[in-house]
Amino acid sequence: MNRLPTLFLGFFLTFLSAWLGLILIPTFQIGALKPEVTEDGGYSPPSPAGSAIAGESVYAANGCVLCHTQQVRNKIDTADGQYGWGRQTVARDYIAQRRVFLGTMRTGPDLASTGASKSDPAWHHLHLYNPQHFATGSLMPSFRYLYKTQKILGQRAANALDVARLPEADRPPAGYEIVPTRDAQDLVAYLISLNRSYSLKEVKE
Amino acid sequence: MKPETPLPEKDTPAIGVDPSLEHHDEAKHTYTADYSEGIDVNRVHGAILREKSDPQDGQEPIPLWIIAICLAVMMWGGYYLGKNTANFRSDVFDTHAAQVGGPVTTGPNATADTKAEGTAPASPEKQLEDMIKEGKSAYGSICASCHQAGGGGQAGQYPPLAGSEWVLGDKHVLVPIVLHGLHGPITVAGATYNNNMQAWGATIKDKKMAAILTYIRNSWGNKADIVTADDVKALREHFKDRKVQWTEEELKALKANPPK
Amino acid sequence: MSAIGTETTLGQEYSTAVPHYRIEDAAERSELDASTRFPVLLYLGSGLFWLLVGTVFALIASFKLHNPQLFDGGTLSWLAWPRVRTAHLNAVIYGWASTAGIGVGIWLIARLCRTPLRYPAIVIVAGIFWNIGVAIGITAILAGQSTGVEWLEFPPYVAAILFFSYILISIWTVLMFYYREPGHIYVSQWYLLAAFIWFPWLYATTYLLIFAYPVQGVLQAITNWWYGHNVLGLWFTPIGLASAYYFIPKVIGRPVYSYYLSALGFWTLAFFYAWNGGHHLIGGPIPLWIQTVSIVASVMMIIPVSVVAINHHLTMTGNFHYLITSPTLRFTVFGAMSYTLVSLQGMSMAIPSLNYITHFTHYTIGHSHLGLYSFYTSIIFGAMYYIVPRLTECEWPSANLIKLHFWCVFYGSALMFVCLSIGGITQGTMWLTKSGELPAFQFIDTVQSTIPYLIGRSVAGTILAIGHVVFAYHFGLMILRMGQRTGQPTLFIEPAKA
Repeated sequence: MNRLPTLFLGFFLTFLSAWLGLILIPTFQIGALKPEVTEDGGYSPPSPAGSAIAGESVYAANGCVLCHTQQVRNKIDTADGQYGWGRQTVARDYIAQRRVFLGTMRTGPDLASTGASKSDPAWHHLHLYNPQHFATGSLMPSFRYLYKTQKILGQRAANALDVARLPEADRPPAGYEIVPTRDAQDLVAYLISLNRSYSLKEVKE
Repeated sequence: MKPETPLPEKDTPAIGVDPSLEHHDEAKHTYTADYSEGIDVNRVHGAILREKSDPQDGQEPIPLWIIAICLAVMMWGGYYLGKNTANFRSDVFDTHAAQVGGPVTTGPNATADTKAEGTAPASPEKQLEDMIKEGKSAYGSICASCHQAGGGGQAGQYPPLAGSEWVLGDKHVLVPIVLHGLHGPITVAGATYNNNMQAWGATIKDKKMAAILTYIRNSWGNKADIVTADDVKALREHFKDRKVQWTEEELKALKANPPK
Repeated sequence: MSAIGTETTLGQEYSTAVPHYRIEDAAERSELDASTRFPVLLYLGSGLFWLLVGTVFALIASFKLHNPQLFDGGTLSWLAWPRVRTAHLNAVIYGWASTAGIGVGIWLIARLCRTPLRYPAIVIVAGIFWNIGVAIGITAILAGQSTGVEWLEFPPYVAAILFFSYILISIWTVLMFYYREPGHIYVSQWYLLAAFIWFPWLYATTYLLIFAYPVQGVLQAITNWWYGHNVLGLWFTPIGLASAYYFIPKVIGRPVYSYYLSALGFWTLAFFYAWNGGHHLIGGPIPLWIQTVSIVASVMMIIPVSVVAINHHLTMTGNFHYLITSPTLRFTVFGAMSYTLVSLQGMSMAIPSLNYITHFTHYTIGHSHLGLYSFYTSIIFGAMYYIVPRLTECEWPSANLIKLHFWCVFYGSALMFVCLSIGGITQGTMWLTKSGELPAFQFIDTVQSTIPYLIGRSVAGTILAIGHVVFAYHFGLMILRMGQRTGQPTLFIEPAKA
């Protein structure tokens, strides 16, 4: 092994073999999956709407993937089915997403189907503002920097947070309201779009 | 020609001025001539001087038992690959599906064929069984994240369903709760909760809602009569103009005076 | 190497009656070291800077995790836990580990190729751009431009800067090998050449497949973890092993036990390691065969790992007493033993039955720190203790500071590993515990159960931080030429005189 060409060839072939096996062949196999067409002509998985797509970037930039997974494993070997996270997820569940956030840590619960059970934007905004108040014992950091406190001009904003549901210390002074920024709205739209209620033939429910 | 000055020993004084070393002596060919920085060679190169030679490769052969382990591990690898790749199918994601040779349900209805729609009406027992299966599945994906898989709720946040007087009571009160949601304080099984339950009428259709409610009324020690899709449909029609969530007061009034 | 007799070189004649070295070698080494001085110190120094930066982020993230209201309570976007944690990861991976690793690699390549550092401008420019890239990247992450792809959070424009630097280093490496002294290529050189060539390929391919021409759906995740695991296996592990293979035999003055074991270990690592990536996705929404292939490859790693361990062990046999005195050897051997441990642990974590318990828990974080800190960072520390005196021409001023550094590293990393492992197993087993048909614990209870271990991790992190500050201070003294002017090395204790 004292000759450079032999070494180079070896490096190249070993690297190539894994690239072929883990990247290229899977790309041929699952690189162009198509959604199922439902009875009413829609798609499973459904395509997300605009705000939800923008929300993917907010989810990415604020590191939500560091604590939350978006993959539900099989219910026989694991307890993933016991926490209300929906059915087992398969490859086709992710084809409508531009960015995929499968995640590797569950400091918080799985979010693959969070929109199925938590589809109220108001709850999401309040929870992002003060996680500990809406999930006692949570270690989730507050994302209140995604919200701004502003003076009420005339009428309350339609999407202002219902401050009556916040603890005293978080409520703004009288005459002020807490409003989500664009990022917060997109993020919540994205979270609500995460919904695996449809079925696929690989995983019949 | 050998130099007469011996090589510096390890414990020669540090910073220094050993004139004999600095002196360039042509006859003696002292090597400071090449490294004439005018400073103590011993200090400058002490680290390098005391080094042992660069590593060499020994020529011991590979012990036989290492080769044996390699072969054993490779055999295991081959066996495992054969058993758990499902012929490299792209639609098999876990070993249970692999064992039956193809995709298989892993939901709670894993062994049942659960296409209940469009089939001929079954016996009441079978009907109940089917509803509960469907209800359990839907409960798991929609309700369990707040009310928990065991119907126990979360202290301080979400009320329990097991042993809840609202769940076990009149279905004409229960169905509206799920249709329109609930806010404000409510007492359930002796404890007060002050949270917000969203309206589910738009997202859950009659049949599924009936299944879920039948399931929660008959699980975790609960026992109450079933809720049918017709029940849900009728109540949805009755309250079709309602847009706001229920409060406990309104529910108590409803309980005293149920519709129809 | 016989050292008796006289030989002529450099126009001089020298007595070679002293065993263990030849004067020509010493003269040559002196020239090599002088040629590497600025570039290597640039990389080591900037690496150490990023280690301190990464340590600050680590402490903030660690304390904030079990105490979410700490500091700003969520009002400051750049202090948000996810951003700080991401900044920590990138500062220590790309800022500390890669930079210092390249510095050690440059020094080793010059020594082993036995040629003075050629084209220093290439590595210096690469180093400057590298640091610029990392600085911009960390700022971008704190400003909210993280890509959200784990281990690839730097925005693509920063990745382009880093890639440019990687390519320069690759080219430089090939040039050095081209100009090397002909003859035997030592095992460390295989590892370094491989690492410095593989990494740009890996980096470029991954960025193309995830960001430029994104592959569909879960393929992004597969590509992500093919990359993530290869950063460990084809970049950091080879640099660490190259260093261990150099310093262990070097310090004790014995040859490596077996060339054949070295070769077997190298090629099995090259082949199997790159297939491991899918083990990060066991149980996930990727085809079973990919998971299986990665599980098998992970278990096959027992071959290179045990081969390297045996090779090192049999080299050291009879020479363990050097661990009492030599800082370089102690850090390196601690690192090499940690390598064996973390690899065996990793293999076990790839087995599905254990994976179902540990996946998604803090156990994985304990594992990653065992690898990147106890193994890789320790070996780099050991290498730095050896290299820096040769470049600054003075010895480490304080044996006590070295001792403090070592014990901070040892106890800090051991405590972190123990806390996170127990915390992770607790979390995982709680998830699986059933009471009848239903889960025995609510999810929030499992989160709460980890808190004592997270606090333990914060304590461990503080211990490690002390070690880093001590080492950085010590390094600073050396750079300022305030080290000891002596020919004697700074050892833990002075060896007993015969």
